[in-house]
Amino acid sequence: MKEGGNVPFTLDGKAVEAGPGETVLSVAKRIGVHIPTLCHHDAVSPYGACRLCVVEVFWGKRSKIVTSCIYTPYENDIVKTGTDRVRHTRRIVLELLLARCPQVEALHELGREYGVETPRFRADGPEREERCILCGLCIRVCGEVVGQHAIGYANRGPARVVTTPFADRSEECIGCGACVFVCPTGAIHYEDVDGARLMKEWKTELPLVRCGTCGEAFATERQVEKVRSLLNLPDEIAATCPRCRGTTHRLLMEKTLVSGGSIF
Amino acid sequence: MAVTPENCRDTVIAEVLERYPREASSMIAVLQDLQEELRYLPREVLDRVAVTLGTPRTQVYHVATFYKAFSLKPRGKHTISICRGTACHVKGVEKIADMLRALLEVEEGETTGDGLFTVQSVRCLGCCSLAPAIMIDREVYGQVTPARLGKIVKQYRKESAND
Amino acid sequence: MIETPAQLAELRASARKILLNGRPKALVGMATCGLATGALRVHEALLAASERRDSSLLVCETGCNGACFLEPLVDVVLPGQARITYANVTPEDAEELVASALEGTVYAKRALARSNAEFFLIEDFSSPYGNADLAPEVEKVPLYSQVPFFRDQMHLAMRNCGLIDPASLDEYIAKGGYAAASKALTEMAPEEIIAAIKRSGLRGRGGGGFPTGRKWETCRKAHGEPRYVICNADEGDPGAYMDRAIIEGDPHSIIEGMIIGSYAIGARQGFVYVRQEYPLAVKRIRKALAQAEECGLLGRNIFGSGHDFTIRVNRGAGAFVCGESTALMASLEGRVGEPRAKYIHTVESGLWGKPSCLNNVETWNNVPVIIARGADWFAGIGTEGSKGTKVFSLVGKVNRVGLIEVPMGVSLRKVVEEIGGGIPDGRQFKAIQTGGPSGGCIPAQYLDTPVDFESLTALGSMMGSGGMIVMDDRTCMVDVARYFLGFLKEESCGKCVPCREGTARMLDILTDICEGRGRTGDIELLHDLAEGITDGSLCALGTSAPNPVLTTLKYFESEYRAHVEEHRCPAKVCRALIRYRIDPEKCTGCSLCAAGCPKKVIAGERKKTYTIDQSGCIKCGLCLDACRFDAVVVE
Repeated sequence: MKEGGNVPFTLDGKAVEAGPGETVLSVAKRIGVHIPTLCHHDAVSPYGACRLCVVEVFWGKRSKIVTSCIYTPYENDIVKTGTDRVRHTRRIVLELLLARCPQVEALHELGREYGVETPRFRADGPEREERCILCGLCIRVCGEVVGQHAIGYANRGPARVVTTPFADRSEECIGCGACVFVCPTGAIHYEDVDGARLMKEWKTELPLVRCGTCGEAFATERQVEKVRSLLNLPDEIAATCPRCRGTTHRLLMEKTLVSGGSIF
Repeated sequence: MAVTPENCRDTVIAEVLERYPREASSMIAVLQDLQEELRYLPREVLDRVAVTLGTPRTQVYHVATFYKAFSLKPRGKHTISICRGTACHVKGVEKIADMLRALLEVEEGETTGDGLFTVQSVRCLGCCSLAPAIMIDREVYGQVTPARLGKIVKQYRKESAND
Repeated sequence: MIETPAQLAELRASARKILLNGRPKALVGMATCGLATGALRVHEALLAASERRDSSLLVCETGCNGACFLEPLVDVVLPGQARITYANVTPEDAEELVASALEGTVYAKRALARSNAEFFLIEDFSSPYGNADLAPEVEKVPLYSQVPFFRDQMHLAMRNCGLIDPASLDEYIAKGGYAAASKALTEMAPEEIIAAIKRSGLRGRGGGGFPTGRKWETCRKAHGEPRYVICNADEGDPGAYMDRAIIEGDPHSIIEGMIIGSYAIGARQGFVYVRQEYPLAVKRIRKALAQAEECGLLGRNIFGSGHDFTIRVNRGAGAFVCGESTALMASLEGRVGEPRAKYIHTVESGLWGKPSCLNNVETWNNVPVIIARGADWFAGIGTEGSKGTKVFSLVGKVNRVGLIEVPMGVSLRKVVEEIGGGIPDGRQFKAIQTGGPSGGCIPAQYLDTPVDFESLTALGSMMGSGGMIVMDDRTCMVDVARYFLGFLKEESCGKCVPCREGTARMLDILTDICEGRGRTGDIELLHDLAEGITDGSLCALGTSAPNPVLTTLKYFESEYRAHVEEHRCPAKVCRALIRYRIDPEKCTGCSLCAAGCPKKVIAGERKKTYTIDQSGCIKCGLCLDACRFDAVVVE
């Protein structure tokens, strides 16, 4: 295990340095080398599940395929992001995902880059409606960033799904929509209707708060309450939508933020 | 307080939770003991485990649905495990599975209407010298033939009628 | 209490006296497969018969010596003479067995083999059961070294299996148990122990074959406290049950190995992770641990060395993937058995992020032998790259099904033909499958291959944990590949795309092939998918998932072609490609087939020809089994 200090290695022929504990993906981003990802997001811990970010690491006569989102390089590693082996692996991953989720345009786009038009596998056919690729970003965001742990995986193998416990209405969901925002395939949806937000896939309905100034419903009660207590917000700001905060309560906002309402 | 099935069960659950440290690493052992006592893991029990061990409900739910040892639906009084090991496969355990399906009229993973048997596959009992093999609860029956299977099932049914 | 080497030595001497006390003794093999064949009733019958005669015969329990195809097995020690192993014993044999034991004669009907001395492997000496000449009928019983099943075997890991009562700590000690631990903890430094294990050449017995000494060394040098030692007793490969036999027959051997390892590595806490499908093994190891704790062999200041160490047992919960080291550790942490990337090894960061040394049951079991007999002695057994012995489970279409332990380097042919006794029912050898779902099928032309890590890997298979499944000409290799993929699909944790989606897709293709929907290009597609799955998967379950398909494609491509191009199954196994028909010339109208048909699709009149309604027939083959006139034909 490396301790402290930078690690010099080669990335696509360029001599680079990784900081202590820095992954190949992070270095690549820094120097402008593109590596595709699906289950990665800087706001959450890496998971290494989609296998799209694979690269090939050479040392001596040998090489191995690793996921760049987790792999931290060793000194003098020779890392290549576009070898035949890498491209073939990414191609198979995308082909498999397209067989699972044939209607996801983002997957088709990525697939085309790697030569996949239609998957060669049976699966259920192009009418299949599944959009979830089980990347787990929604789960990690809900757990690590929002701190609610409202959703998680269930079952194993191909039967794996993302769900609330018992696939029932959630007691923990606050309707913040972070899962919707972070999902790479648009598999999660919510609808604001009649003063309530329905998190469709999580079968959870939550009442919305109306802005004290303009009257628009802008966030769920539970989300507002959570943010209010985390940021120690005065009531006027908490019950105001973002646009009105910026106009009606601009000075109070500045005062609150400058005086250091702590966030975490 | 009168002894009812409900508070008997409550006592059992509380007792199991007392056996292990109240932390996440006890999860599987706790669920195993509860599964053995209750023959399944009801929803309220899983919620209670989450609270007691200090883990999110989603984590308990994933563990309960990931491992084959656990079931969220009540299991039968007797669990018939069909060995799906390679030796048993090669020695024709599929025939035994067919026969069982015909005798009990349930598919794998299901429980008979009278609650007596749950049929499941198990990856390998390690009784390869006795292939094809099945296990009923903890007893292994080796070199099972369809005829013998009929007799075994009949015996369990008889015993249960006598209880 | 056993708190010093001297106390251990004392107990060893007195326990040995009792073990060799010259009383007649009957040991009944009561491990799981023994019990499954009725050994419990044999045990009860022997007890009853002995009591009726008010006799001095001791009736005891023991583990499995590997000859599973002959169970129930009973060993009888004839004082002053020899030890006789009896096979296929029934409760009805009890009277005569007891009588012969008391009279010092042989119950010839069931006699299988004879041993003239009790062998003590740890100290390398033999204690003859008697000094005088043997009675002629005793001499008639062949020696173990003359019995084909046992002749080429060498029981190191199985040194006590079938010879001692696994519930008796005293007997374990009598056989030299804990002497190696005592020596290691009081006479050797941790570095010396690691050097000895390295020099012995011991490699992991769970499938990875990683050099054990090197693993221990890296763990010892790693940063982080506390450290852990773990015994992987999850034994998930279908058809493999070597570890179960060791735990059920000699649980203290594992504890001793872990004590030595923990001292060498600097760990104070150990875990044994046993799959829950092994309830007797769980019971045995728990009892052994309790015994060890009670007398101070586990706990604080073991043998006065200053080393503390305890072991906990965790049960698996029905997930094959938990045999993978990172998944096993996740399970120990109370989580789902999801593996993680091993770019940083578990010896550096494992259980709860701490240095953890995980080894297989058989690996731990070998450690006391190496410390007691020496690294060089151990390295003298086996081949250049694969030292020592290996326990294999020899199962499937072979005459003598059981567990065998042979020096590495013995040929596959010897295993199958000489030890295994060849293929039953006059059928032909077709393949031997090794390495479980990560391994592959080896055809007849490679039967002279030595059994060692490198040779099996070179053929595209691997040694794996030791499962060896023999297949004959009635086995369809495409069906075998499909079977393994079905297994892996069930057991995949579901985290990574290549394994979760890829094994399911490969299974789809193979199912199509087996059901007559194979298309041109399927074989090429299988190869392409296989490459992607091997390169892209997160853990060994995924990366090796394509192996059964790849090896069967390599060696049995013609069988695949027959399925794909001709929609024909040469071995007549794939149900969609075969038909069961009743030959009217041979049918006598006995109606047995119809009676046993689960779908009730066989119709006819007694004494007249019966016919099968093809539209409802599920090809289960029960009619073929039932017919006594060879009238049922598969085509």
